[in-house]
Amino acid sequence: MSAPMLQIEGLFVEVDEKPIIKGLDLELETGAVHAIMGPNGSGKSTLANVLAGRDGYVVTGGSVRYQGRDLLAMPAEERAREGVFLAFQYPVEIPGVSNLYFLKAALNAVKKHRGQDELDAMDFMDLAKEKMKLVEMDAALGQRAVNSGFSGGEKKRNEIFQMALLEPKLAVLDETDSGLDIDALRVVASGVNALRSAERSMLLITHYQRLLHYIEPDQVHVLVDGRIVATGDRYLAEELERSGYADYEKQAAQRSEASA
Amino acid sequence: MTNAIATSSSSTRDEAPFMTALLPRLKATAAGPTWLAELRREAAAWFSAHGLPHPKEEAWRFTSLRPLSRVAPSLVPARLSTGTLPAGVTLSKLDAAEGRLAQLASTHHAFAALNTALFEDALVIEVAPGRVVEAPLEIAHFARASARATLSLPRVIVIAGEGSQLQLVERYCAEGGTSLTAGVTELFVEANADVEHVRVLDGAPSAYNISITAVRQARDSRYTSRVATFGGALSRLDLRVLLDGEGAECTLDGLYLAGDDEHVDHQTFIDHARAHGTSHEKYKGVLQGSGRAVFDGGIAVRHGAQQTNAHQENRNLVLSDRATVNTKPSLVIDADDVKCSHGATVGQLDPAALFYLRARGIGEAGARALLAFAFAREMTGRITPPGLRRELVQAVLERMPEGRLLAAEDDV
Repeated sequence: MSAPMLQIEGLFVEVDEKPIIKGLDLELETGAVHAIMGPNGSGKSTLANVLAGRDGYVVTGGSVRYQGRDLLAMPAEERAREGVFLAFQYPVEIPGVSNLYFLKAALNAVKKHRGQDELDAMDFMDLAKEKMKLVEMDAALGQRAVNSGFSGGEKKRNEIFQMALLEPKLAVLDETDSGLDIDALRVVASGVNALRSAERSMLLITHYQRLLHYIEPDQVHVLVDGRIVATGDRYLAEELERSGYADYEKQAAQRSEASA
Repeated sequence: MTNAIATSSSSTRDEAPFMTALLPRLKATAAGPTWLAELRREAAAWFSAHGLPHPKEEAWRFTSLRPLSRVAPSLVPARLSTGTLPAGVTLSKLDAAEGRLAQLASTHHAFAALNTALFEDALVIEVAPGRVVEAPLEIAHFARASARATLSLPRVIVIAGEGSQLQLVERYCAEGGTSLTAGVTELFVEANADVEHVRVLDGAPSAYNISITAVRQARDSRYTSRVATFGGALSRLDLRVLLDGEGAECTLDGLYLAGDDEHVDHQTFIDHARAHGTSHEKYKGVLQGSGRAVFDGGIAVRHGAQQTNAHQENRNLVLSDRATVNTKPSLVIDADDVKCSHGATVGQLDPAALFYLRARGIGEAGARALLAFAFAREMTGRITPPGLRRELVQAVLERMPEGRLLAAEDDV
């Protein structure tokens, strides 16, 4: 048996010396799509950033294994080259760097790491055009500076376009659905669905159940106060939609009172 | 040496080797036609009396001339070379510059005075009224290495006649060895004329370049200056633009890079003397190692210069904690119906952008290089001749940390 794609055990994370993730366990098999839902401040984005290797997120306990290897020991760029992809909640604007130049540099860094031939400008353009169609992205956005002046929807499409180009093994989508109108959500979701495969695992981090109408997860986890408090199938998400997080938050508050 | 000091009647600061070396030349009979000899005498007298600027002078507060004052340079011919002369451009005799030479570059500026007093040959460039010069005119100055410290005084006068159009590319290079280049370029942009002026300085260790560009614009004229300064022991440019006719417009762009032991200093002054003038100014700098940069951007809007529109920006990217930037905008406005704005920033690479690039697989060094280059690229991107733009992109990459990691593609 090969190791799971992602195995998180007893993870504790602090930001600015404040505990955010407090003993999180999660296992994601190869090819599986899991959703993590939770209220504001539950640690959703912290989890996404820890997995991607952002500075300032201090792991104080537990482990994260990616295909059996210690993910936390790798610098951010190595994780990306090894196939971990984070779709940012807030994609960063980078004036002065064209979107396609940036992606060609990224793709070639990944290819080089994997011992594959780097793409020349022509081959890259062909590939980019093909992948842009997947998210119905305007070709002009390729020439523009990375995310500069993009609308919210264009930024999120750009994230999925990048994911399509880089072909990760593990994709973490951090609130990719937030702030999207229904048309943009449909486009983004169909792009994600097109990228589902038996070799690729996905972690959908979301605040809203709406996304899960379009992308059907194999499992849904509820994250409250830094821990997974419930796990189920997609009906759990529908139940959450009706009842909200209030009961889970109340339980979490009692738990932390009890431990205090 | 001691004798030279004893016979000098000037102030004690003249005891510096720099002044000692030059005083005999300044006392010698002024060369050239009568009108010029008169200017030279006046300039020589002023420079002999005042010497090098004092560190307490506002314009020299952040740029020390002490290392320079210890140098005893010998004057060498300035050797200005022109590329192929494009059709429509005339190189004229010095007499064509009578009444113009030294009218824009004040003789009450040490290095302008030094140049006026002692320059050997001037390049007088004329474009006939109405003439549109298609190809860029290139002029270059090269400070060659020598066993002794050298002083060269390139002098250029450009007269762009009414309704003419010219693109001028001016280059300064230096190789090893101590050299001072004190150039003066005066440009007369006549009514409705259009001049684009690219100035590239490629510095070297021990190369001092302290130069003046002074421009006078007549009504409805356009002047665009694009300055690229790459290091140098000391690279200083005083750029003065006088908008002396209604409806004149100027654009001043600048890019400067300074690394270890390099000092770059840009002093710009835009003088809105008439109504309906417009000026756009943007200077960007990248500092590494122990590099130092000074930017002083003055804008004056004179009484009666109504409907003036002036915008100034200075942005600095500091890649090392040993680098220094002094930036100082100064606006003096004596009219009441004007739009003026200015902004100056000194910052580092955006950590969020760095993480974004790394999260896509780009290594940290490459990510830093890419972001620094992107910052500079805005300015190189404005250079219109494609050959020159590529050359400047290449020069920027060579001076950037890890610039070699980046493909020197036009589409960066």
